[in-house]
Amino acid sequence: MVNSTPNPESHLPLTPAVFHVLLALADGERHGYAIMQEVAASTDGRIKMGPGTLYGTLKRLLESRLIEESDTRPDPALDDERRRYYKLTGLGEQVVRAEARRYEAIVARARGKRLITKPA
Amino acid sequence: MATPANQRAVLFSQAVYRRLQLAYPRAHREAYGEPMEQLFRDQCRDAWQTARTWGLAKLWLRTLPDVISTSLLERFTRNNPGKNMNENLAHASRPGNAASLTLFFGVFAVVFLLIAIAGTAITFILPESYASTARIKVEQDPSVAVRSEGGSPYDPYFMQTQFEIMQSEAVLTNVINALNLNIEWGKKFFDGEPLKTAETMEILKNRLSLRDVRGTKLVSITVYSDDKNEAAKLANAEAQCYADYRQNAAAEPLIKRLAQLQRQYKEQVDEIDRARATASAHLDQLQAEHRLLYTQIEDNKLELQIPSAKLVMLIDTAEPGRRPVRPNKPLDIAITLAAGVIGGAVAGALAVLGLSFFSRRNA
Repeated sequence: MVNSTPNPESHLPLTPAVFHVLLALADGERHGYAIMQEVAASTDGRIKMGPGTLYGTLKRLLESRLIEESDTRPDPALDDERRRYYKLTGLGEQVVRAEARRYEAIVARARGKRLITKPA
Repeated sequence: MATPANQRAVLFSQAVYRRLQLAYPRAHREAYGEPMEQLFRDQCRDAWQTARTWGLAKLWLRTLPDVISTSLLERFTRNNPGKNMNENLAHASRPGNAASLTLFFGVFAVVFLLIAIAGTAITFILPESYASTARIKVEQDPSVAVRSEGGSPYDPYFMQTQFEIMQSEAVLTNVINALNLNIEWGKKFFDGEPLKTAETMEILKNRLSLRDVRGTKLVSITVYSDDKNEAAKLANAEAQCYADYRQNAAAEPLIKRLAQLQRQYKEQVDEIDRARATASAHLDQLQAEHRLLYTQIEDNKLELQIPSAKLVMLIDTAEPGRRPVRPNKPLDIAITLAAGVIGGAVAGALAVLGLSFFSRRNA
């Protein structure tokens, strides 16, 4: 039975893999390979997700109703039509926003302790 | 373009990965097996394009731990749609679950065997790779180094900066040009089609490993290649190009100063030439005038030498006088006599006239 009023905060904190996948989908629908490339690009190649990690994460995000499969299918002339596209649900968007705010608060505390400085 | 060699390597990797997927639960395989395999195929293609065999080897080094950890995770996590992820994942670490332990060891054995077989097969299939290391001693430029309290040059980011320089486009481009890598690697990897410098640089970066020896100024430059001679050449070229870059960077202010001085020198030479040309023109004019004047003088001299018609001729020459010409005594005496006659006559007349006047008046 799905909770009628899901609480985004109950999903926090997110693992780095989950957070990066949700961030990659924040721009719009993507397939698995595009998500992996987006995560690698946004972390300067420091995080390279393997197929097991990526699809395990996607599976859990689907089960938790944070993402859903999109009906979009690529043009067969341009890409493999078997690719599955994923997109954020409303709850997923709330969760990734909540997690971003949590990171923001952490960064603010770290700045307060002079552990990091504001970027120039 | 895929060559038969890379097709074999990529297809073999896919076949191994397909077998490794047996480590995942059946439901997970049925739901995600195909897209996972597709993603792995894409990764194989990228890895091959980036660094060929070495790229595939690095991909496998990332993929094997991924398969082990995620397959175990999938087996021990509770699939409970609608619940949050943290609750599902918590089930995986719950102790005292005998069935889970049995499953764990079963999966462990299967995965271990698969990995051992795959690893051994890959080890024998993969071509040999050689590593060659050039070692250099890196000094700071004393003219730009920050001086510490002790007076010795010190820059805390110096070595980090040098590592970035060694991997920079400026240095790597010189290595590529020096060894003609665009052409050579095009022949070697892409059926003779020359590579772009950016592509060659990406491959070179992946084969390059830099390491500083702690507590020293030494840096080890290691390059990997399937050809031991090429690895050595690449390492030595990288070291030489970096050394050249540093030397050029140190000499750059001097080169600029020299260029400035040379520019000033040329300007002065031009100015001297202009002044010389002006002076030459003035000198020519003066010389022309001088020649003209000289000619006139010579003409005059010549003219003076030519006898001309006499304007005055001496008719009589002067002789000494025989008697004095002054006073003219005879003339003077004659004039005196005449003056006496005239004076006497006038005086007598005046006396007669006067006497007659007074006589009449008194009469």
